Amino acid sequence: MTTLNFVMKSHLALVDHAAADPLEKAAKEKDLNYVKLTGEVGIIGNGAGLVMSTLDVVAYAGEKCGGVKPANFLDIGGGASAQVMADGLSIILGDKDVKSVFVNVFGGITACDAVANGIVQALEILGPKATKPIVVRLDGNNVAEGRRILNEAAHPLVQQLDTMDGAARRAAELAAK
Amino acid sequence: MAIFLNAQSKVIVQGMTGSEGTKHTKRMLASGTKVVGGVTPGKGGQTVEIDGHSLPVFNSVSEAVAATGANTSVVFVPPKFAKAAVIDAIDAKMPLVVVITEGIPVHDTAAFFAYAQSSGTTRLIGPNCPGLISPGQSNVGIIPADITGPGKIGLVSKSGTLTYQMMFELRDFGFSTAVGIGGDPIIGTTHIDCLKASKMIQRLKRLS
Repeated sequence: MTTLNFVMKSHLALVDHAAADPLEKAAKEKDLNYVKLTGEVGIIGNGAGLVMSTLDVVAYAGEKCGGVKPANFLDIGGGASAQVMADGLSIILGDKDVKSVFVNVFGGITACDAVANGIVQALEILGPKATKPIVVRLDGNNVAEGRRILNEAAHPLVQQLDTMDGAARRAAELAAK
Repeated sequence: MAIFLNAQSKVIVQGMTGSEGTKHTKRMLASGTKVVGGVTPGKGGQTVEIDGHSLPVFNSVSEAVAATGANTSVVFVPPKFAKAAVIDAIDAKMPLVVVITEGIPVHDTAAFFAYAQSSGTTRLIGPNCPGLISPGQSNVGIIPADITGPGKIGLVSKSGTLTYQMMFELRDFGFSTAVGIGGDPIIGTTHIDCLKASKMIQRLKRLS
């Protein structure tokens, strides 16, 4: 919507808010790129292309776990601040179909330590509302520091895996339990 | 074989004095790109100091080309002003114009795309793209330079982070050029254009 806001303000009045999925509506209010899907594994990633390929690897891994599928598309884009991560996690954890969450981030310009801090702070913001296992795969810019921050925080819900495929398998297994 | 971008490419940054422009000019310089100046209308004559490089700012792309001999422009201009910036570059007969900006109205892109086509002198890459990198030679846009080094693989993709992910997965082989062509409905350079430029289509025909 940000694209059109400065050229087509009048069109905003035509958006049919009542027809939107309630989770998608809540996500839109937070400016998140979120699409509700039918599965059980919540997905958060940075970049639309990477998130779409994450959906594919989770669906593939899910075939061996009783047909577990991705529960949503959520692209948190560049930056991935603590607040954006908290908003994203809170939408996904509010989805009653979600059994596990897979956070897949490749740090390009975004540094992995910022993403890791975002996850830690998001869990502090959410407190007892965070109830489902979260599988995190970080790679790219400043990955060592990002992984260290998550290890040090040692949040009971968070587990880290080194590869995208390995993390997708773990998230699918956790959703199948 | 690198395509579109090599060690001889001389790059100007449109929007260099803005926050994103300055940040990524610094990164491009650090990865060895020959950045020779910037363009910000109204700020011509100023000089920007970035990591020991004194970069002149010009009012128009024509002035920048005349003074620096630049043959590549990268556009970090906000959506509202991107059309004017790209048309300025096309008018200057800039051979390669890489448009990073996300959120340009499609009608604006349609206009400057058609203008570039009719000029016959400018190749557009993007908009809404991460740019392109020929590792070890030059890096134009926002692709991280340290994922992998030079090699023999060419990569063309619509996605930003998925491009980085693929470069990372194949980092032991290295890349000749990775081109992020952008995800918008209208883009200047397509997958097929990149295959043609890398002579891959001719090579595949020889094999068949």
